[in-house]
Formats: sequence, structure tokens, C-alpha cells
Amino acid sequence: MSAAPQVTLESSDGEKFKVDKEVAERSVLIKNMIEDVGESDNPIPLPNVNASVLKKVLEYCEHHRGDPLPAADADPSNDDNRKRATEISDWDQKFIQVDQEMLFEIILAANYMDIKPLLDVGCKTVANMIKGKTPEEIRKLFNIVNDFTPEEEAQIKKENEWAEDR
Amino acid sequence: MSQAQHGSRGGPDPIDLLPEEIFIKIIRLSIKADTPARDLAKLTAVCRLWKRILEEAPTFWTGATAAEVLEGLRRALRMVQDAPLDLKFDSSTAAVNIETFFQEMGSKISQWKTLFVNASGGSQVVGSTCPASTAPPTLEVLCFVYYYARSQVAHEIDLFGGQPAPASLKDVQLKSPLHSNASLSHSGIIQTQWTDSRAPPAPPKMEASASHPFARSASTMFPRHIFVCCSRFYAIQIWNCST
Repeated sequence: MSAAPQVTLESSDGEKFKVDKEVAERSVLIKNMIEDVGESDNPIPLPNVNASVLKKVLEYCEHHRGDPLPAADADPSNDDNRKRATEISDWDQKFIQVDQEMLFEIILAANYMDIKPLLDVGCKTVANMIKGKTPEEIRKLFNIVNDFTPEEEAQIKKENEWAEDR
Repeated sequence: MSQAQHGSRGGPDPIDLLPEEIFIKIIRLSIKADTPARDLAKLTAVCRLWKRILEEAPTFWTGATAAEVLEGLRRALRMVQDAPLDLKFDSSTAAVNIETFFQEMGSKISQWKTLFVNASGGSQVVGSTCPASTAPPTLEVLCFVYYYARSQVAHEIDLFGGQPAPASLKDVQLKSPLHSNASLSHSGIIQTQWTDSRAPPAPPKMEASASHPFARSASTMFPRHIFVCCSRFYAIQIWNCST
């Protein structure tokens, strides 16, 4: 029995990862690169993903290597899919239990590498963090600067007066 | 995503590097179809970017629910622009009465996409004409739950003012839990096709409904619930069927 074909990926900080082609091809970016360039022993460069993030992304791809590929138009944010929009499988939940910085790095990497299911898991996780929070709590959670002028803030407060807890 | 802060690893926070389309996706995922306008309005107070994104995306505001106070309904209607509307009137949670709700929504009747009405709250809706005197031209889904007390006299609910239902209608769900032995009338339903008739107390009533020449499908969800679906009909008329 011949060994599964493998490819080498190179992170932005120069670390090389040898993985099964099937695993690497969970990334549409890599799949397209392999198709365009053909079989090669040269490492595939991923200049936007550092080693620690790539390691994590590859862990996800390895676990989901046999999963059916998502349909191009299966957008969980569509109205029809909203009911299950924020559901995350148990394994994915444990996988994505990382610090906030890593969480956003994973989202960025999934977006760059075009791994839609991983992008969905990351976005759903952040969405779940937002739910039920006040503006102040959201700012604090994500280090967002309140960039309204005092006048704007007063105007917003006035506009939203009806929305305050009854 | 906002003005650059610095992450623990020295650079800007990764959240600040998120492309806007991902941020929009995250916001959308955090909002349920029936997220009230008051929760959306609160999110506009996070920062300028959040405010702009929320206010520039009409589809965030499409869930018009009667649980909203009047100002909230009006804000949602302003923000929704031309996007299709998902309307929900549930008498158990309504902050406005049914007449006010549909009066407000009437200005956007050409945008109604789904309509859920739970009129189980008692006498409030009995005798009301609901929801409008004209058929919503783009309505796709109608779910209507109507409870009758046994002591109540018969009242007719005329959903489309006697006019034909819109051709856009794909799914109709009628749930009326207190039907008794009298016949159930749904006028204008196209054909009969039973999908489930297992529930013991229901068959006589279901026979009455099923025998209606225009029913397309019907099933029992619970012993005393009758669930009728049709793809096209002319007006729904439900009479109190209690004995």
C-alpha cells in the first residue's frame, strides 16, 4: 500500500509542516495552489499565518479531513439557516477554547486560507460572546474604543431611550 | 474593527484586522431572526463602526415583533428600508395591541415575507380583522395560531379581506388547538392530501377538514391540534368549532 501523498506548508515565521495532501486541501487556497502548480516538493508558503496558528488550523483540518466539503452557497448567516446558525459541535467547541487573540488569528487564517467551516466556527464563537452584552461590556471584551464624541453619545442615548430596559 | 489597540503580542489587536465582511458575518450570527430592535439599537452604541454597519444593513432589522414598544417598531421600519419583513405578533408577549401592530406594519405591506400570529391571548383578537384589508403581495409563509375558549361564540377571522391570497405564498400553517366536533372550514385551499392522521381525538375533525375540496395537506401535530398546509388559497376563514 503506498503512503498517502503529502505536502509541506511553510508558515510566515519559516516553520515547515509536512501534512497529508488530503488534510492540507481542506484549505481551498492550498487546493487551488496545488492544482495550479502541480505536484512539487517545494514547500507551500503561507506568509499570512504564523506557526502557532498554522499548527492549530492543521489540527482542525486533520480532525475534519473526511468531512464533506461545504457547498459554496451554504452560508449559515442566511435567514433559512439562522436557527442552527450558532450551533457548534462539541469537538469544535473544545478546539476553539483559546485566548481571544488566538481566536481572531484563527478567524483571519481561516479567511485567508479559505477554510469556510473553520471560519464559521470562529465567527459563531465570537457571535456567542457578543450575545446579551451591553455596549460597555462589548467594548471591554474586545478592547474597542468608544470613538463617539460626547455630543454624538448624547444623541445616541436620546435616540435609544426607548430601548432601555423596561 | 475599531481604532487600533495593541494586543499582548505587540501588534494591533487581531480583532482590528478583521475584514469588514467578516465582522458583518459575526454580527449577523449574533442576531437571531427575531432579535428585537431595542437590542440592535443598543449595539449601535458600541462605536462608530458598529453603528454604521448596523444602520447600513437593512437585513438586520427585518424581524418586526410586537414585543417591541411602538418606538422600537418604528425604528425597525425606518431601518429596514426595502428589505423583506418577518412579522411576529404573539399576544402572550405583545407590547402593542394587534390593531396598532398591523396599522404600523401596514405601511410596509409590500415587504411582508413571513407572518406569525399567535392570537391565543383571549378576547383581544376575537372579531378583529387580521392582518390587513389587502393581501400582502410578497408573503411567503403564514403561521397562524388561534385559540378559542369553549365558551366563546363563533367569530370569523378574515386574513385577506376576502381577496385572493398572494401567489407568492409557499407555506401556510394553521394551528388551532380547541377544535371540537363541528367542521373546520378553510375556504379556498386547493387540494386534500393527508400526511398524518394518527392522533386519536382528531380524525372526525380532520375528516371534516380533509373533505374540503381545496385542502392540500393536513396533519395532526398533537392530539388536539390540527395542522393544515396549503400552497395557495384564497382566504382563510376559521370559525369557532367548539361545541
